[in-house]
Amino acid sequence: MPGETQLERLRYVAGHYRDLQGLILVPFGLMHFVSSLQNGGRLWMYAGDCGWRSVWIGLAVLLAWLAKTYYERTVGRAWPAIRAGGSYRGLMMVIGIAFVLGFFAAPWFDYVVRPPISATALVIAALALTLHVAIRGKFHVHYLYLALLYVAVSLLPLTGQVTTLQLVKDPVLFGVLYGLPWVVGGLGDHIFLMRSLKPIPREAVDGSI
Amino acid sequence: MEAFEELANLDRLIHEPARLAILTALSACRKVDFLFLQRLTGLTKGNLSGHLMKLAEGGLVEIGKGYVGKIPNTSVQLTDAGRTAIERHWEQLAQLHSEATQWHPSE
Repeated sequence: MPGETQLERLRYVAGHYRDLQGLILVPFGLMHFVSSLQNGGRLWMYAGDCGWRSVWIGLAVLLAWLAKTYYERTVGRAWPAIRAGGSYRGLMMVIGIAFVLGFFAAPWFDYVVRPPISATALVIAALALTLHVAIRGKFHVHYLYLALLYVAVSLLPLTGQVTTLQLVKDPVLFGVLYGLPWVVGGLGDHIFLMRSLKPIPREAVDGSI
Repeated sequence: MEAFEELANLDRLIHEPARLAILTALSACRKVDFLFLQRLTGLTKGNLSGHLMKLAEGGLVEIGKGYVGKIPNTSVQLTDAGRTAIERHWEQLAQLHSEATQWHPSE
């Protein structure tokens, strides 16, 4: 009989397969970074040049679609069991609120109030921690590491090396601050998924399935 | 001794390692396709087909044939009986595990 943990992991991967298709997230992180560089530290939705904004969004969506196709062709398709419990819906709401706060309210707060620690980084840390505890489970811990990294980033202004304002105004710092979670989270999910799967069967490579 | 009697009652159709892995994966999903099951379990096409046929004959899974674009596609899902059976099987295993860890030679 396969080991209990092995079966538990197998069940986890089957149930979370859609969440684990991490390459879909990566283009959006890159889009944030490139857009921030191009727009002098502003989020893509506030960028003045509508043409470039459309190009970056279009490119990110296209790459995400290609990533999704790659998973369907090499790993297959699975429809997870419906998770419609009250606690799951509540959790999704908390994550949604944290997401909105992280993207809109926290940079504004940092820009206007200029607190001693970065609220933006702290909100992203909270979001990563929520994902780790609630959705990602015990099998892979990169969202926990991401949360710890962002707690450290939020404390950086205390060292005097960088100010809270720089973190949300400097194009490179702001681009990395917003882009990194998508890239690290996505790659972490992808690596975990690939490690959990067995090699591609020959028949699939031949295209006969 | 009860634990050994329980062992005899385990459903062998489910308890075989490959089929237990297949049913465990299916229990987390509404439906999966054949390739996904292959990637999860590492079974060859023939081997997986054989196990799925046995499970289908036992009324535990339902196999559907269709197309994705122009490519033939096989999908698999648990039946209600299959879902009940795998859950009951896990309960039996958990009970056996608990009895085995609590057992002492003096008893």
